[in-house]
Amino acid sequence: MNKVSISRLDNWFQFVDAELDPYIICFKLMDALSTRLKIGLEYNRLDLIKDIASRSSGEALTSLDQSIMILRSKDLIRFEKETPIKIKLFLTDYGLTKHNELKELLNEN
Amino acid sequence: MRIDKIKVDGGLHLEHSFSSNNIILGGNKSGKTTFIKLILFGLGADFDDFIPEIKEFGKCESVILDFSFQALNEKYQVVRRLPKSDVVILTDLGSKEEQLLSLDEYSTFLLNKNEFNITEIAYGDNNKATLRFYFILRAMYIDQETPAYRLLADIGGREKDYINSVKQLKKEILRSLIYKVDFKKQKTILQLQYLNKKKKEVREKLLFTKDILKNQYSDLNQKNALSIKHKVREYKHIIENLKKQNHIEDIGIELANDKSYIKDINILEQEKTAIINVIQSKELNKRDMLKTQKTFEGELAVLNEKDIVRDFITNIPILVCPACSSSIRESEEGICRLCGHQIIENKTEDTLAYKRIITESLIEVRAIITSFSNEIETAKSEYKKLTKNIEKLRTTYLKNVDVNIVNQRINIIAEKIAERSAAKEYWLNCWKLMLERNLLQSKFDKLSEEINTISALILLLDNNEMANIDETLGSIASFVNRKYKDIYSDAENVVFDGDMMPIIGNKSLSEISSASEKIVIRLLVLFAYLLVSTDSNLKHPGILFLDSPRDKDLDLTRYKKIIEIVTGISGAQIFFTGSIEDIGQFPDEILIKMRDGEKILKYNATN
Repeated sequence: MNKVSISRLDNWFQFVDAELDPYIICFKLMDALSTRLKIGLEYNRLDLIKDIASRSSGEALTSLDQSIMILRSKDLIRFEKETPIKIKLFLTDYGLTKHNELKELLNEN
Repeated sequence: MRIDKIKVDGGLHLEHSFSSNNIILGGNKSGKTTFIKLILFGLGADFDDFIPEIKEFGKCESVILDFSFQALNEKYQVVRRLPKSDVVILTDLGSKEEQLLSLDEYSTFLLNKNEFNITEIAYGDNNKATLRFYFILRAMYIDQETPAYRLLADIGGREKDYINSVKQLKKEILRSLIYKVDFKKQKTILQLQYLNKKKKEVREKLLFTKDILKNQYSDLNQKNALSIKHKVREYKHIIENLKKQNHIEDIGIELANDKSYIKDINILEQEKTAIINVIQSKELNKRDMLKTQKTFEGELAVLNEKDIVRDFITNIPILVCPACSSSIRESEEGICRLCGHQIIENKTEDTLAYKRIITESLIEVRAIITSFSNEIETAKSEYKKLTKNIEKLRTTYLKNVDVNIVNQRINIIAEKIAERSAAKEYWLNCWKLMLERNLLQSKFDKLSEEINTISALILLLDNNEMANIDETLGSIASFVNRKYKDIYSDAENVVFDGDMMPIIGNKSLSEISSASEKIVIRLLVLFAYLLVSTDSNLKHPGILFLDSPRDKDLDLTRYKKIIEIVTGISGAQIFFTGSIEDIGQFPDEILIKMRDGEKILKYNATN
């Protein structure tokens, strides 16, 4: 049997929820927005996280906030005010280009 | 139904629009009767006694009649050529659609629009007449030619003399005016027909099944389906047992002299079972591990994807300040020009350890799976070896057994199986037939019960219908009696006989000596039909034509009362002609007023 080099005592309980990683959420959000370039998505945090990650916990919301911050700061998405209380998210042209590039990269791997 | 307008074309012409009460007054030979006849002609009636100007000299070309059905909100115009024509041109004034109809078709159209059932009426010796619209017109027209005792006007000229006098037809005309189609009854009758048909089918099937049971299973006697079912099961059990005995090896072993080998074989068999258990448990463990491997692989794939995505996105430069949303130029090195916010992206990787754990666990799992696979392989090869040994042992011992005896035993058992199978089939069939018979019987009983209920219901509805007609006739009689006593202080009671003809005291209408009384009764009866019908929404088309009723010896006071009744009728259309001399008796609204010598049909100015 092969020798196992990890320490059960120190490392075993380290657990990462990859699905709630802000970058994974970034990608999923870009995916969702790329299919609705014209209509966009309503910026409703609870609905958004439910649609994207199928969860609605506090951590999930934090991750969503982080991912929206990342996407906005890199000019990949933009906000549009439809009514005073209704805000919509859209993918920018730059965002669409980057999304396509990322998809290709993932397919290659 | 309502007649809106009449127009007569030709050298002699007229044109009038109508309201509810249309009173036409004029002198003798002013054309009052012709006027009514022209309207009736437009409705499909035939007359062979038109005035010579129409009949012989062809001064009038055609009658154009506009009529409408308010309930249907439909308007029509009909054109019929004078003096006689077997076709009409009917125009739907709504859609402007024009069609050429024969008189038969036109009659059917009018009957349908007035909601009459086009029934066949049997009369005389095996004769039949189909209901026509001019039959109905006979009850809407009080003319001068027909003797008052005949109640209904004779329309259609001489050739229709016979049919006009048929009693059954008269009865059917009067009945159809107050008859209301009972849709519930019609529906119930249809249902009964359907059920009867179904019952017949079920009965045939039932008889057939019973016949088969009787012929094929004459020994059935009192046996019920349940006992037959038990019998079938018993046979099934016996056959299964027989089949178990029918193995060459088993018979051979049974017949063999040396029994010690059984022990050897049993030991080997036990070993074989132990190995099977081992293989099964290892397979289960292996399957668990494969599942775990799959989970780890999935997790690893997600982590890899995450790494790629994180790498890619972190490499995209920050262009917008996350604090104030203003754009940042590269030269400003991550400090927002507007708000001075320092933009530092956290690029540290925090999942490395986790990824390592997963990767190493995966290696572990794969190693375990390989070891399980090896163990299973070894166990399987051992199993094969054991099976071979058992086979060998058996063949060695079977060599000592006499094959003929074995075969003989096998044949006997096979015969037994065949025999029992046939018996099983026989009783199984019987059981199925009995079930079928019971099912059909219960269906049949249920249908019979349903049919009885529905028949009773139809009888009830029948009685209701008769009661309805009796009730309507009762209200007709009460109207006639009330008005009759109002006109004649010494009036006797009026009832209706089975032919729906009035009986006054105990005399029929024809037996009354007073001509004025006859005409009063005729008028009252036809008024009553119109009134009862409009009151209770029956089928009377709602039009009455009265052609100079006073000409028949009616004295002034009675005539006045008749006029009072007629002008008091609401919800129907009345055409009333009379002498200009009686103008004082009529209300102010008079449609046509002709002085002496003046005529209703006028010559064209050019003529």
